[in-house]
Amino acid sequence: MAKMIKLVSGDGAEFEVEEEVAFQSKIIKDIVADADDVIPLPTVSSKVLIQVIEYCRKHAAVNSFPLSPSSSAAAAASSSSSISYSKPVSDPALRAWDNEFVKLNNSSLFDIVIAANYLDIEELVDLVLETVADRIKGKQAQEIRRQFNIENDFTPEEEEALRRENSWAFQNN
Amino acid sequence: MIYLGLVVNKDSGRSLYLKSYISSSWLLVYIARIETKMSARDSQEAESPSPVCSNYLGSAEESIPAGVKFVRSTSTLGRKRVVLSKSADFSPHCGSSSSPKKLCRRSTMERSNHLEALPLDVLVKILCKVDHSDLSQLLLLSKTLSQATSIAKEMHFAFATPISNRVSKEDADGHEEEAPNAPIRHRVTRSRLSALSLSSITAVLFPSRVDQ
Repeated sequence: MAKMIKLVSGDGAEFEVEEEVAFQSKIIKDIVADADDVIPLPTVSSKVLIQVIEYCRKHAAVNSFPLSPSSSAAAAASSSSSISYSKPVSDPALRAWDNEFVKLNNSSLFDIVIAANYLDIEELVDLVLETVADRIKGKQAQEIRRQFNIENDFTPEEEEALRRENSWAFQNN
Repeated sequence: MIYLGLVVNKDSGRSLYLKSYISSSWLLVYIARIETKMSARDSQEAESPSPVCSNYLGSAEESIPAGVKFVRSTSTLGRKRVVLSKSADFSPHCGSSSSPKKLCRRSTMERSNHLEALPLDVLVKILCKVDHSDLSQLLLLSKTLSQATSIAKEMHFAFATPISNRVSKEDADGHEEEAPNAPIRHRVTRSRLSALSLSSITAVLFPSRVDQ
């Protein structure tokens, strides 16, 4: 009998999910180990929580298989460093689903970044960060500014000083 | 061809879809008209139009053929005089607007999760996933991003090999790719040992069942 965990979003909506789905979030796993099964998540809105639960449901089946020694070693190694290197999702169908999942505008994507980071769901964090990085890669500064609405708060002198200090970056690309 | 979608979150829940094949200046007028209508009523917060506005303006500029020039023109919409200029100028306008009736309200953009509003450690993690060649662009974007890029550089890029994007090309020596500062080899040395001369001084340590 699957144990159910209750998640309460910031705007008070309640979601009941299976234990294995919820436990993809390390935070939730730790809380349930110490306290009870009703977990308030005041910083996560319902809209975002629904999407996160959808992701976790989809990936719960993959994670339920026991880890092989090599992958558990990789997991241990990656969790010890602060910058973790993502393990690529092996199943192509799941990867395709992930790609569809992240077809969101920047604003919604950032909502998921923050929620996944807060809930510490490793695979989802990697997925969304990779997606954002892909939106930055290969672009010129003006393009990046336009896409993310970034204001240039440098004065021309500051910009010149930065270029000089960081000449390593401006060598032939 | 420019495809524009503007979703307006009004009490009536109407959505407005425009398909425009015509020139950009007309496009800008249309967007300005819709924005002034919205700001005039100013009921609910309309989260989506503001970032959408700039995004679509960005894509509008890209899809304009090279020959079309943006004209600086003014037009009077209602009682407001709106200056229409090159869409690239919209970003600074968005940033510096203090009155709520201007295009692309800054406050709504801040609320809708700006890249720079992300916590610094998350930002650094994102930047660690870009390529080495993108770092120069990121350093000059803004102070927040510059700081995050420096941190990413110290934590990650200083220890990672740049991935070369160049298609490997054959040069005169027949080598596929030449290292940037490698010493020039005029003559590739061949091994002076040959299997035959070695057989007198070698012995098989682990004889295999299958003899070659």
